Amino acid sequence: MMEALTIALTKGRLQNDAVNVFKQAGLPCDCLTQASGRKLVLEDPGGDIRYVLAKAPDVVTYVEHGAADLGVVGLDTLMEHGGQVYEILDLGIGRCRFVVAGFPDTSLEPGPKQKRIATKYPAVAGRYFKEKGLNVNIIRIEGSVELAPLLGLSDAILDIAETGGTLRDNGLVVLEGVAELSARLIVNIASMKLKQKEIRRLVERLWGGERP
Amino acid sequence: MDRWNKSIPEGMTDLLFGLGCRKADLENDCMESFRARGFSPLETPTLEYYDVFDGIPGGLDQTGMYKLFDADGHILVMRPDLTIPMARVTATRLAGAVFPLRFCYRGQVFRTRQNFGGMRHEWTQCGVEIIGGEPDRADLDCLEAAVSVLLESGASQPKLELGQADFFKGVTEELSLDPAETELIRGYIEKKSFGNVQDYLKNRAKPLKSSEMEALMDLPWLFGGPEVLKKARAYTRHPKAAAALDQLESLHSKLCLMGLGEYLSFDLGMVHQLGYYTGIIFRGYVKGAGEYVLSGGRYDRLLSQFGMDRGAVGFGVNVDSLTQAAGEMEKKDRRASRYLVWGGWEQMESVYTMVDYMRKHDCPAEVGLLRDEKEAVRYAVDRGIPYVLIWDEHGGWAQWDVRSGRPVPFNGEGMTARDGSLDDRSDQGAAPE
Repeated sequence: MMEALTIALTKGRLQNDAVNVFKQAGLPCDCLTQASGRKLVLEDPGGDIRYVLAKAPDVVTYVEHGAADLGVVGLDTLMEHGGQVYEILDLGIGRCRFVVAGFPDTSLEPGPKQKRIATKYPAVAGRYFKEKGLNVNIIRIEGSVELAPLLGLSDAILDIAETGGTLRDNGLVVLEGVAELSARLIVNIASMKLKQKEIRRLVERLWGGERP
Repeated sequence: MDRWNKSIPEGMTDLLFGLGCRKADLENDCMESFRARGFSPLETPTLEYYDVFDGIPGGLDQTGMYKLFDADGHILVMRPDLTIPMARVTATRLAGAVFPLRFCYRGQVFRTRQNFGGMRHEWTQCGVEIIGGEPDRADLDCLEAAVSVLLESGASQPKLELGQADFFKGVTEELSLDPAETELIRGYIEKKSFGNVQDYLKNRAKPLKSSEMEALMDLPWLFGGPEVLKKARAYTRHPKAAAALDQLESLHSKLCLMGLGEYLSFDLGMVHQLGYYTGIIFRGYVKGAGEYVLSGGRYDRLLSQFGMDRGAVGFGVNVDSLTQAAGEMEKKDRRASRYLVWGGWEQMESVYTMVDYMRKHDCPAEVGLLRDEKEAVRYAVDRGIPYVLIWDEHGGWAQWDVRSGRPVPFNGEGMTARDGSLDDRSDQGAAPE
């Protein structure tokens, strides 16, 4: 008996990229492309797959608890929020990177005054600067983190950059690269074992026919 | 000033009624299952010194424990685990004992976790430990106990998954990877990030022979039925890895002969806590639980942390996760009251004689605590108690069938077996007048 799978997708831009990847892999996703906008649970009429749309950290939560069997979520979210999940595939979409950015003359060397770093990713920032041996003050900012150095709240930011355009538009530059990021396919630990056949089939199609 | 006397701390739960009964039953069933196998209950304190859990190779993260201070300033923890205290007790008190020692335990364990993650910070663990004994026999006995406890819980689709720490260790030894690299690859395999394993190995400065690489690259997918053991053999000749596969095959064939084969599967990619486990590693899954409900393995180096050089194997069951999955179970609360027995204050003696009689005949009965008999009936309706027995004013018992709302003659009918069949009650004496 084929077990139905529930896949949680991160809403927004990653959602569209994910749909393309699934389409290329030949997975049923008409219900996604025809999605009207506010419906959050989309069932494929074939009955094998159900998609749900959620915000990135919530995708991890749903998969961790088993409410969804699989999820598509950025590595940035996984690095920040962790989660007891299997991270089985790099989907190669949503490519970007973590960077430290600030005004061009910003120094990140240790000095008498503790540096302030504004970020939406305090856990990632904490680990990164600790590894560097730099004692910093981390301030959590929910969005438009570039604002922080502009208003003098922080000396620098740790944020996601793709082309660097937003930074440049605000007079900021990349000071250091931190990590390469992309979207990952995550799987609930128990689902991987109990729905092994179905998940393996799905992963083989996403992996492009190459033996996983 | 705000008072928090109506709230409970993050990660804590109150458990009542249906779930409370189900958990109590499951916990008792687990312990009964263990005791029937000759495991002896071992109880250790809820508060232990932090030092007991700190520095165990492959053990717990120091940030994961609830810490407090005693009056002398020592750091204490609410115990995060029950196996490590067992090692402490055995090593410090039982050096002169005859081995093997077989312990079972039940108790609360505590771990701090991400706030608002929805995970419990406190849960009940039941488990067993076998210290000493011939390792293969002890491993087999442990696995038999693990499968049995999952089966007896009544949960659906129980599955025990077996791995072996020496398989990964053997393969990496064969490749002479340095410790940092081994740990990196181990992390990828634990997460089943087969893509990362592949990318790393393919881009390695010093390339590895393709046959050796394949073992590691395929490891995240080496889970499933016994065929994965045959597949794994083709990858490596390293004696440690081969011995690991031999052991898994041997355990599998024995467990199949015992009729338990259908509940087993394998995962050679189980590489968590490799600093802790030294032989078999296993996890138990059931339908309805989003994580494993049982976890264990062989840890031959644990007791030496406390000064005793002896091997041990064991496992713990997360009774709370199992209870959560109990939504899938069919077992009903077998101790729910079948009778509410009500009388006036002057008739209390007769009331207690009656409930005593009923309880002796395996019929759970409850004493009515409300003053008014009509309220007693309403209470029984609310609680789902099928029959009410009322001492009426003419000095006899009158029975009320709560479902139909009608009086019925009291002839002990409500005391028959659940499925409606009549027990043979002729030898059990008449009901009291």
